[in-house]
Amino acid sequence: MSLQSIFAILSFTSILVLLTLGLGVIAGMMRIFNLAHGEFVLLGAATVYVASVAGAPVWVGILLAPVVLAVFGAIVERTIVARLYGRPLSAILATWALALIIRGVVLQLLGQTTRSVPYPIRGSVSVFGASIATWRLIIVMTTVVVAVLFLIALYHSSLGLKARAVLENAELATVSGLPIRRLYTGVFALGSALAGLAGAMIVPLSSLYSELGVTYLVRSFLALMVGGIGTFEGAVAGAGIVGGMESASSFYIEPVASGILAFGVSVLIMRFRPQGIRGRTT
Amino acid sequence: MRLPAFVFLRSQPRRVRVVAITVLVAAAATVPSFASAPTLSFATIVLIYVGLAVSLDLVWGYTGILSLGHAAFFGLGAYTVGLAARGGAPPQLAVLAPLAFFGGIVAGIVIGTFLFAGRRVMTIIYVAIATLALSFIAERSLAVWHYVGASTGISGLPLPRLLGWRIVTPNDFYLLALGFAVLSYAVCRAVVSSPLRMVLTGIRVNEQRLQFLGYRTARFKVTVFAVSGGIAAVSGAIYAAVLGFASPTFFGIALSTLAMIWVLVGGPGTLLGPALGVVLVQYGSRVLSDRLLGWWQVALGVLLLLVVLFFRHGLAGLLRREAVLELPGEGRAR
Amino acid sequence: MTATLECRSVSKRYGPLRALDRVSMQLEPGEVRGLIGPNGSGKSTLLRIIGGAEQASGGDIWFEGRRIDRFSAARRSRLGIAMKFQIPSVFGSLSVLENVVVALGRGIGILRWLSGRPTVERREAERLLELVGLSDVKDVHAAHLSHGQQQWLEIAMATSVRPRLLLLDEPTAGMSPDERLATEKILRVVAEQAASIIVEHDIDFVRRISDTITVLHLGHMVGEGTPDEVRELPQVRRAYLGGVV
Repeated sequence: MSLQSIFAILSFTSILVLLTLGLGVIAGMMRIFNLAHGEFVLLGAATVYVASVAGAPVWVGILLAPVVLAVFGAIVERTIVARLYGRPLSAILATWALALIIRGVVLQLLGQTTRSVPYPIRGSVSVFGASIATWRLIIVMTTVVVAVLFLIALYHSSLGLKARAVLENAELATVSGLPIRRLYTGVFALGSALAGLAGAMIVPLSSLYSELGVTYLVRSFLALMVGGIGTFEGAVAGAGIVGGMESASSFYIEPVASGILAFGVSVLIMRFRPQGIRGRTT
Repeated sequence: MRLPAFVFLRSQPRRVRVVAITVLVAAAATVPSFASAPTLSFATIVLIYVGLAVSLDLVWGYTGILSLGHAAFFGLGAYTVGLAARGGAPPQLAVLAPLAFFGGIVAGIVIGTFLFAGRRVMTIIYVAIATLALSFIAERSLAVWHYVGASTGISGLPLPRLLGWRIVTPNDFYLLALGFAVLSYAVCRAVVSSPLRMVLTGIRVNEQRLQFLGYRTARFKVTVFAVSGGIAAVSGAIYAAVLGFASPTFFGIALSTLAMIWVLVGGPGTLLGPALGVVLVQYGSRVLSDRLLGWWQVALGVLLLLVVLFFRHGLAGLLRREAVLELPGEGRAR
Repeated sequence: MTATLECRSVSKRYGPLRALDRVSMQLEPGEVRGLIGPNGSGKSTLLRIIGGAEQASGGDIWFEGRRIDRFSAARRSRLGIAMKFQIPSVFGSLSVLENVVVALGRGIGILRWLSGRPTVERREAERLLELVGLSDVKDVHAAHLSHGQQQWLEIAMATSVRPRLLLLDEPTAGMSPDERLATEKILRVVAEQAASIIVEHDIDFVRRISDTITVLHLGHMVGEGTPDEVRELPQVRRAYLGGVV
């Protein structure tokens, strides 16, 4: 397998890592399974598209997307999600409804056609003699940076400490006076921002189309459940496995079939190891 | 100790329900005599959907299994009819409907066993995502499988027959749909009127407690899942026979979500609620899509959101006298 | 005669926390064993491990000569071990009578549930409700019962399948003195037919009803014997910090 293909796999998997981290931190902390996560990706992609159509450089759109999604996520948390703590089924259905709404609105505003977004950086660089698309390289690098920042924040900041306390024992944390409400809003905003960033970075490659959200929703959930909820390594492992399976197999079989294969194997893994590879058993 | 009178009341007495349904069916039977052609075909589709709605209520509203991809069974039934036509078999519903039912049952057993067998209680989210993923896989696979027409599906299905009766006119289609709607409802009602309802409620409310009592809950879940799948498949078969085609979208998330909306709006765990929910939502969609064009999809999402947030028990919840109804994973609700 | 229950060196760890440390216990058929100890002594944990709600970290458990620590809770229940949990978890949407019918119905096949009216089970359920004093409210939704009534319902459900080992976790928790008396009467009848382990905080209650008592403290067993014997043990007194024993 050529270095080029490896980078294609890496960049695809990186996007999924960002997504799964975002999904996982919300699920792990608040036990909320955000079925609108895929549509947050769509919104991130749409932000970039709208920005570029409005005349701004694509870079601006890409930097704007996580911010937009963070704000949007905070609003969603305050208005919808906050009512549903302790009602896991309703949370699933409500976020599903939200996904429906977002997808419907985007579909209406943008129509059925696929819209393309220009690359912020064109061309390729030479890595060990192979020619790698610059943008793919940037995706991978950005993901690594974000993941490292995430880890640092989690283990070396007071915010991270509070977050980990809540993760371990939410009840105790509340009684100890930790500002749970603000923490939850912040975490949801963070997860949304990660989805927005993922969508922003993938859109030059995949273009903007209304079904973008759904495919990433299923992928990120399967990655979350294969890897396990509540740990950083789990999110990365899950994304690696699910993303890796799909993108690697797409070199050998039709893309549709590789998606089916990845989903099928993931469902199997989930079934026989329900807590995931590195999940916390609650 | 005296308790207030209302706590002794369970759901509407059986007699009231039977009368209500008889009236509804009788009223429904008169529709062809006064309805316009587009209204009649709309009503026909609604009646077919009732089968899907009550099957989902059986497995979700009563047993607590959140099947996010239930339309896959519907699609299965539709493609059974499609494939039969492709293979040159006569469109004899007396053969095809039971065949679809059987197919739905088998698929339900296979998938149900995969999802539920074993001693661990799989969480709601696992079942939800797994069923979603499986229906996704089904839709995608069929969309690229050329033998069944890929994304266009199978079209040009011949007009169906039920034994000697040739189903040709819109009136015929309507009566066929009405018949199967009543049949689907009756089967589901028979199941939930039986003592089995107690076990299903136990599974929905606290499956682990039931296991601690010694129950092998997986058996019950697989059985209900299979029966529900069978009913949904028959609905799909009738749908394909009436419309004359089968498409991969019949398996899709859009229809599965719509089914969930029917059940939630009508009231999960009541059978009659979801049946009425179909009528309400579909009629509402029809009206709205004229006014709002594409935005009615958004309106549907908003409706679902509002129902989930504020009207968990749907329409039936507003009307029911029963003061307690536990939804799966939610504990007690007023 | 084989002991009904035998726990050999049962331990339970939660990370660094040792909830149970090599506790051994033996129960003869029909014996009523009280299990007492201060908070955090591991009584509930031990009960849950015997019932199958949790897995032990070490040691083994034998029921009627058969090793059961690998068995699921459902299997243990089918073998004849019934458990009443600390927090009542009755089926709120079902009526009181239906709760007991369900408890009785575990062996019934799906077809019979669908077709038959479980009349035998109904009659037996009504008898049990009579026993625990809930006949008046048999058609009420279980969620509407008072806390004490829910406990009685749980006892009825636990005892319905004629278990040979009955595990009761704090049957009088949250009850008024009158209710406690009623519970005592119920348990005397119920405990005739089975070996039982009763975890309780109400020491007097335990003393009146038990044949023998085991005392736990911080995961260790610190005393065992008849109620009178146990009262005299210095380590037991110490464990309760000079409280009423």
